[in-house]
Amino acid sequence: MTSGSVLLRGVARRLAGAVLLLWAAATLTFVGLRLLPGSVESVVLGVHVNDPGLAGQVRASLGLDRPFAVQYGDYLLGLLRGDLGRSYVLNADVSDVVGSQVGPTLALAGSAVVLAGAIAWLIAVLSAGAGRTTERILHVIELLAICLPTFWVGALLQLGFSFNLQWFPSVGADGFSSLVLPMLTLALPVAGLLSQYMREEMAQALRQPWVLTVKSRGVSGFRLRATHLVPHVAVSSLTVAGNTLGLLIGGAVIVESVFGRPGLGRVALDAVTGSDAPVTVAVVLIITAAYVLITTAIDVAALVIDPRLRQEATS
Amino acid sequence: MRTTLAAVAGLLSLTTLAACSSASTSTTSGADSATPVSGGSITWAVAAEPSCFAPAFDDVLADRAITRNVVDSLVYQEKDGTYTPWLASAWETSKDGITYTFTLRDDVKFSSGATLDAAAVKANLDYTRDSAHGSSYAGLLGSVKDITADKNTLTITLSQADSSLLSSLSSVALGIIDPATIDDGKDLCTPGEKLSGSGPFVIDSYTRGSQVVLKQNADYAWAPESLSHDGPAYLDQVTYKFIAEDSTRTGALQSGQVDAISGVPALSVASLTKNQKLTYTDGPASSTTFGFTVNGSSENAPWDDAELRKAFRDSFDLDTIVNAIYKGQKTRAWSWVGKDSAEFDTTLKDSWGNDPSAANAALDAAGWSTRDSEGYRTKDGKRLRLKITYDADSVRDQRDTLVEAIQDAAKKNTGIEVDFTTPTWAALSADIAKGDWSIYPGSYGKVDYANSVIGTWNGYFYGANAWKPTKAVDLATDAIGATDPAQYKKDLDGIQQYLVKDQALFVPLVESTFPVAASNTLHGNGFDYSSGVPDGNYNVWVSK
Repeated sequence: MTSGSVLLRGVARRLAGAVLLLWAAATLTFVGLRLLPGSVESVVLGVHVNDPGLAGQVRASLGLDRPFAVQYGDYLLGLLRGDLGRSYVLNADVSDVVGSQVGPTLALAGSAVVLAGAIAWLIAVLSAGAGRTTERILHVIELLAICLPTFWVGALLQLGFSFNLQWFPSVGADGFSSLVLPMLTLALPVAGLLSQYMREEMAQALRQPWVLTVKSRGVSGFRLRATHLVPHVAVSSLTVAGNTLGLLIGGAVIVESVFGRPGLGRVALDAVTGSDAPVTVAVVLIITAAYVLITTAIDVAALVIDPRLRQEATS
Repeated sequence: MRTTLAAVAGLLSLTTLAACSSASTSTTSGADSATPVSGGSITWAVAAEPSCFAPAFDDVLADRAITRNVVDSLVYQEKDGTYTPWLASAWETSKDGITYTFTLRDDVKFSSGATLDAAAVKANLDYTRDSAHGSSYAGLLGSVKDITADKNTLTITLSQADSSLLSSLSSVALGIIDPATIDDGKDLCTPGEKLSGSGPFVIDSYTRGSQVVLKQNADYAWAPESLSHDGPAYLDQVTYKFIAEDSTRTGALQSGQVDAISGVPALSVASLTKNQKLTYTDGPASSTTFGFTVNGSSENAPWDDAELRKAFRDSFDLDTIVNAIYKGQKTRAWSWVGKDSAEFDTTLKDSWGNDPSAANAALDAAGWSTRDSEGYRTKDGKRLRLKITYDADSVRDQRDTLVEAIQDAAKKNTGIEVDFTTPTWAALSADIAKGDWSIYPGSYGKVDYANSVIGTWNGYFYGANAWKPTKAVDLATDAIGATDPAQYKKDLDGIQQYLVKDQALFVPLVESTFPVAASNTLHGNGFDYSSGVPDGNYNVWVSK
């Protein structure tokens, strides 16, 4: 079997799994939200729910008077058509609400990951095998970056670089300058995590026999780490980076709040606290889709980068 | 049946009632005597993004500050509570208070270009009062029997006299928009080209989650006379940024990134007033106060007993608690009515509260005389427990700390156990709709106090209970029908005495105001007295 068809089969299997995962996520959210206390009518109408006329109107317009199975089927068909329904709270189509917020979040999360990767790469390359003291200091810094509350870090950066130095705007999403502080806030914990992982992987690799062989050819120091060790840890680091998605989403909720940025995080927060089921479902689906997309992309990238994975697949 | 939803709408507005502050630390921006200049633009930072920009569905009180820029009302409410011409240049009321005849201005145009005439106003009012449309404000027009339009003459015929009609008509809630799109209903909530009012500003762009930009309406020539000028607004452009985070909002103001903020956190007031570049202005305490509404029905036993409710009310020292929490930036309340309203019954001041010995005596007399191991009062083995539920979204500005301080004092002073939880609004409103609630902390906003009483206890809000404070509802009904101002005032006093002093069905805590903090370069900020919220920006100008 050629490595090309292995790649195709891998991708196909992944895609099938992705569809299954999306369906599961859609179903779980749909059922879960129905189980929450407080009826849909009371979310839409608040205390007006006692008006039988209005409550009836809401039930009819949302199709709540039909059997649960029919509602579920309709909901799935709607999703297939790309119809996410209408927000209970915002008086607008969910696709409009969510659609307008994907861009800013993507810019934030994407740039944060790239920045985090760059920071982690730099630290790992510069410090792998640098000795116990350096490693311990870096370890503490990394732990701090991971553990400090995002809210606090964001507020501090805002205070220093926006309110006092006035280098960057404190709020909004107008251009790159407004992205800098939120991006940095979101990138820090991811960078800490990645750096810790990459450094340890590199330190382990350094103890392996092949490194000695490379060294014996006269390659050492920075060049050894940058050209030989980085590709060695690249695949597993990518996987770790992919798994920080949860961190990014949680962080985005806070960062978007602190920096007054539009985005999915804020929409999700409002939707959950306001029991706005259609918006909540849409956000969950988008996050699931993003997760599936990213992990699939990383797996495929791993197959491409590391020939050993392809061989293992054929054997 | 009168279906007044205004109070309900006001209740929804709990989520955005802003921080309060005493007038003692405020300076007024009206003091500057410089000559206004035209031009320039300003940026506001507000705590919450309006969930709707269409007046009929704009349920959150604080959002009216934004909508006021875009829509005008039939009449204008002055600071002293009187009404002056706005879109209506004159009006007459029949002796029996049943027929109102309004003469409309003939020079008013909507931003869409359409002309405002009596038919347009009729279309708006008819749309809102038709309960099938689901406007929260249908109840404001509950007494209306018929509306007729003839060119510029609008006649409103009532089924009974209604002392609150002009008040309702002055509110943003009944602001007038171009009737051509009125059937779009809630679709108008998202501001686009369709939402067209006759206000001094026009919506230019809206970015969900971020901001709304308003542009000057250059044709504007129909401002209420008591405002300082006529013609278009001074400013070319006004931007409202939605910044939920308190510290970000105040930081953005202090660093000059925005020109004004509303939703000023009480604890930031001290640092804001110290800043020489800023002006802090507190709004009038002219809406319902923040306090505990107590369910007086037997479903809430034993708290259906007025003596027990009064014992709880008197079990804590509110002055000390409010001062400790708000450092003098908020005023404790004495009534359900705000202290700056003409309706405020001044005799309530110092008439109740902070009397643990009387409270203990009353609790002993009611049979709650034994104590359990934790020091709580018991009767027949049951602990004396009071449930306070406050929807998490509305908790802000130290209100949870306030409730916790009361919880603490009630235990220490009288042995009442207060069980304080913060569920979601969906869960809580379901409980309220079922009548299954005990104490709800909040304020009810207002368009009209008498209307508010009916909407709150006889309309949809607490209406599910068979029980209601009948006397307060009857007095409110009488007040609305009163054509004699003295009778109206007597009824309103009676309502306050009954709810607060005699029955402790409402335990007032702090006055609700909407303070504003702004750069010193910004002048002419005012308050909309129909709602107590910051006014639109018609009078606002910037100096260099």
